[in-house]
Amino acid sequence: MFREITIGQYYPADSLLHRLDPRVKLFFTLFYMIGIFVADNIFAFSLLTVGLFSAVKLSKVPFGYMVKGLQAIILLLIIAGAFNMFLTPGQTLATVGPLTITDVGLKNAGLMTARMIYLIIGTSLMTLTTTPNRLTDGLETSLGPLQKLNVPVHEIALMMSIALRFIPILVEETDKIMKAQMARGADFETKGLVRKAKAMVPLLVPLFVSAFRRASDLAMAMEARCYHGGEGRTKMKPLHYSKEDRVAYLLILLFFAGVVVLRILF
Amino acid sequence: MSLIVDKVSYKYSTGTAYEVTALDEVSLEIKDGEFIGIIGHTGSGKSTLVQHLNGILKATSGTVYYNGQDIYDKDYDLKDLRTRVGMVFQYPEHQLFETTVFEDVEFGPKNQGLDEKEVAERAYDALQRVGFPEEYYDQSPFDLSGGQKRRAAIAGVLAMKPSVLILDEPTAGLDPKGRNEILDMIRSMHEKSHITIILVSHSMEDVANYVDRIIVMNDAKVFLDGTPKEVFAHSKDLEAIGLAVPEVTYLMLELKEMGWDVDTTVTTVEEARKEILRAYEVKKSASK
Ligand SMILES: Nc1ncnc2c1ncn2[C@@H]1O[C@H](COP(=O)(O)OP(=O)(O)OP(=O)(O)O)[C@@H](O)[C@H]1O
Ligand SMILES: [Mg+2]
Repeated sequence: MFREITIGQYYPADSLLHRLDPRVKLFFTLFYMIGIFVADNIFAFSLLTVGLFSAVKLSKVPFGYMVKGLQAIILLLIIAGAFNMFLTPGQTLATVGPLTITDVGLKNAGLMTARMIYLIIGTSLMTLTTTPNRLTDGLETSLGPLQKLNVPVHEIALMMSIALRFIPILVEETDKIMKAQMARGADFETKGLVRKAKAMVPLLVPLFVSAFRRASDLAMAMEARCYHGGEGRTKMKPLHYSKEDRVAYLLILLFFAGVVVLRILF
Repeated sequence: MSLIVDKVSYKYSTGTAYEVTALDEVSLEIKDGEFIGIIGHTGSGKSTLVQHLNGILKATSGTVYYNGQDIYDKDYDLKDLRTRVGMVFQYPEHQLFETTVFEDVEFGPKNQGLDEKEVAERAYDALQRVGFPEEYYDQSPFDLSGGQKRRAAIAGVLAMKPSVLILDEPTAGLDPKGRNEILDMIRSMHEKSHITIILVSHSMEDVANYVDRIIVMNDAKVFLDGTPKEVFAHSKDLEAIGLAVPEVTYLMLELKEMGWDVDTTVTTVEEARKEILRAYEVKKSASK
């Protein structure tokens, strides 16, 4: 029941996107995100759409699997879309009861919904095609220069990879505990806010206990293997750029330039 | 009055790269009062199978009948089924959550909607039955030892007075003493209250000594189903799927090979002792 969560998860496949250096994918995600907010007309968005869909196609991750991640934010999208649509001043297009839809409102709502959806799909594309290990490696190397400014880059990267690694574990744990409590007659489908919150106690307490237990086990295991932070630590598989990666950088820059040009032109 | 599993198949993560068929057209009938052992190596589908028996998992295809009723019927009361078919999960201590052991055990009966007095009686009775030391009733369940937690968790299910009790690897991670205590407790429960017991395990030794019927799972299917004697007669097949028969069965097989006329279907140490003594007497009198 909770297994549907796909945000931040890796999807194993053998594709060009999976092979790309994680730094390239981080670079893509960054520029793609900027691109989403730079684009403000249908032409720029068409280019983004083309770019996104070819990347999805190349990744060999089933499209259905990817949009599953969207289910979690559907409510958010609807609410935000509605607020934008009804509450933005501008030329009135239609009135529904006390609410008016304006041209600016409609455009804003559309734009914002599209941006959110593209943002989710684009960023999950990165985590779906990159193992947490490679992702952290990429992040650590990309942020390397910040080390000079005393930013604890290694620690940040490690925290991120642990967090990602723990998502499926906690999801599985939640599933197990829910089943166990259901077997004791717990009802997680009760109506009413207070009763619902109360029904969560038998789930949340064991979940927290187990999360802390796991965290302390992990810390112990790391210590036992002499983990001492990033200093002087070498990698088993250091990152190397290949020809594909260079071509990808070039394409990403061209793509971004295209979005900027389209925004300026129209 | 029985549980019938009719051609049940179950797949995890359908439609993704991780799809696994955990059960493949499994059919079984479990009669009232049986004491059944389900064995199979890791990943053979034991836990998945038993989770169908109280409707926690819904079969991808096939169905389960409890007392003749299809539990997947729209108006079937699954909550009621779960109080009749009690289930102790693998590592049940992970489900403890209340501030005291006693309150935790009360959780099940409370959900059954019983009145306060009855709830407390049930909890007390269940804790007594699992041999939980009385001085710890008001302790936090998180401050107990592993074996005590296990008992508290089992009591939590017993307190609902199920007529079928399923235990998924109740002895995993316990020391030999704790293991025997738990298994003995389960046996005495079966003898006293005649409830149906389904014990999931991957130790042949455990199962052989206690149960009347063994179901061997392999690769999402039922591989063998019969009395311990019948099942252990297939020692070669069992080895082929990575399971061992009890040590005594090996001993008897070896004796037989050495030319002793012994019955190789014995499954417990006690039976083996008698059989060897008998064969010894025969041999002695023959050589006279
Ligand atoms: N929650 C799950 N999600 C996906 N796959 C699962 C899940 N639970 C079990 N599986 C898979 O289903 C198969 C059967 O698992 P199951 O837990 O029933 O085995 P088991 O016989 O109980 O093993 P064990 O002795 O280790 O407890 C395995 O291949 C397992 O990987
Ligand atoms: Mg199991």
